[in-house]
Amino acid sequence: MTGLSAGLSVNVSAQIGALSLEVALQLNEGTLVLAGPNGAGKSSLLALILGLRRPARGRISWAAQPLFDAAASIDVPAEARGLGWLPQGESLFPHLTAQGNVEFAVAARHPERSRAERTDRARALLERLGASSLAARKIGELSGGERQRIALARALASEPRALLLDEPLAALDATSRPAVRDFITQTICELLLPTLIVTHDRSDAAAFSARMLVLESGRVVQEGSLAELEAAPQTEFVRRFTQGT
Amino acid sequence: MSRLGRAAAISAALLLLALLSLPLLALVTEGAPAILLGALGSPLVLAAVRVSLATSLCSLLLVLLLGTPLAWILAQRRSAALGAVELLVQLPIVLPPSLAGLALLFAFGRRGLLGALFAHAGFSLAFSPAAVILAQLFVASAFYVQVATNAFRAIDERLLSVARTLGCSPARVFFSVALPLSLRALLGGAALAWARALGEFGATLLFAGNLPGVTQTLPLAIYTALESDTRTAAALGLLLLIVALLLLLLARRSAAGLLTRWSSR
Repeated sequence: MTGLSAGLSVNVSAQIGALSLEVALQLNEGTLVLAGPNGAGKSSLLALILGLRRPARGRISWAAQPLFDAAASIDVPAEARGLGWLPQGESLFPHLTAQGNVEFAVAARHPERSRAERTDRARALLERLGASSLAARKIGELSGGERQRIALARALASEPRALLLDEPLAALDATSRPAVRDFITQTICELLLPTLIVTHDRSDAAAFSARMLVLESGRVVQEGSLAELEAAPQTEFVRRFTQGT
Repeated sequence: MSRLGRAAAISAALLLLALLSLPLLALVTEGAPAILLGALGSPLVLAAVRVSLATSLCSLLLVLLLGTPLAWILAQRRSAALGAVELLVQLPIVLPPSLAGLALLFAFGRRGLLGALFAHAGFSLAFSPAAVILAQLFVASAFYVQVATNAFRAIDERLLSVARTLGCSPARVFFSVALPLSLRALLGGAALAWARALGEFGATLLFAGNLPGVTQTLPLAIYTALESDTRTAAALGLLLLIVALLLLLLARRSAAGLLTRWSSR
């Protein structure tokens, strides 16, 4: 990886418990879907990219700017990497309202802004994502789909240059799933944000993606469009995944 | 047989309850008339209330300021060394208070490890209000640190991580996520620590002495009053009982509030 290309370049290795992870990937404009069986290291890979875990070796860069470089002892802290993250499962702050969660992100990114400015910005974001009616609600009162909507609004409020979504639809029931899926695809399309989405569902992958990456036991085993993977699956997991079983 | 067993269990429970409640009941019957007759107005009592409030509030403040960062560190990482630290912090809970007083005397007394150094600098810690505060800190901090550590550990790791990715420095994560999420529990821990500090007797007696108006706290005043004036002792006892009960209720409410608040998620 030269790190000269635009977007996010990742080439890292790390030992996480029993798993030895060694991954190179490039995230430019558009969406990249990351699939793989449980324990393949998908969430761990996100943690490495986000700066929540430290790789043993390698390099992570945004365009020409290194975010992590083991050889040069560069390790930009998570709060300065500018990467938005939707962790798997529950991640909204339960002590704040829906709007409070979004304001939190505005305040973290722009501590110099006044309270009124933060409120305005949060309201504008919620309106843009069609979630104005949820603003005053407590997190406990929101449905799963509504929570993901607020979580995405919060991630966008921190003005990220790329988004990493970890199984954003996994916790949702079958009825709210398509609506949230459409909502996410529409939002990231409009914003032109490079987005990495972890999923284990074929129909989600089909909806999200032009390009896919399959991770197994910490290694990339296959890369390409869903159609290409379907046509020539190189592992048993890829075969089952593309058949939707 | 099961009927007999149940009767035996109930009898055992009632016996224990009687053994626990009778002394408290006696304290009320002795103390209430004494308080009504004005036993709390004596100079001994007023001085002890003043010393107790001043020292216990100082030690509480120290427990909060020094204990919160320690609890945060203990909650975030696990290692053998930190396990040993946790054990060290908990130890005063099970130590006899007189032993704590002795240890404090050996460390900070006139001929103690650091005491000699203090003496060179021209001041002495032992038998001063500072010694009372130190004794209270020694016995009470564990109660707060333990509760705070557990409260911090109970916070979902993802909330802290997501705050980092939103642009929060570790310090900001602590103040704007961890602290508000555990505030009720911390309040409960503080109430427990304060109750323990207010009730401190043995360590204070050995290390700080029993000087009226200087180091004589409420529990020490009870001890002194008992020799001459049982009524005052009973009145003081009832006063301390009421304060302790209120603090315990506060601690329990904080813990219960924490549970109901998050289980509604």
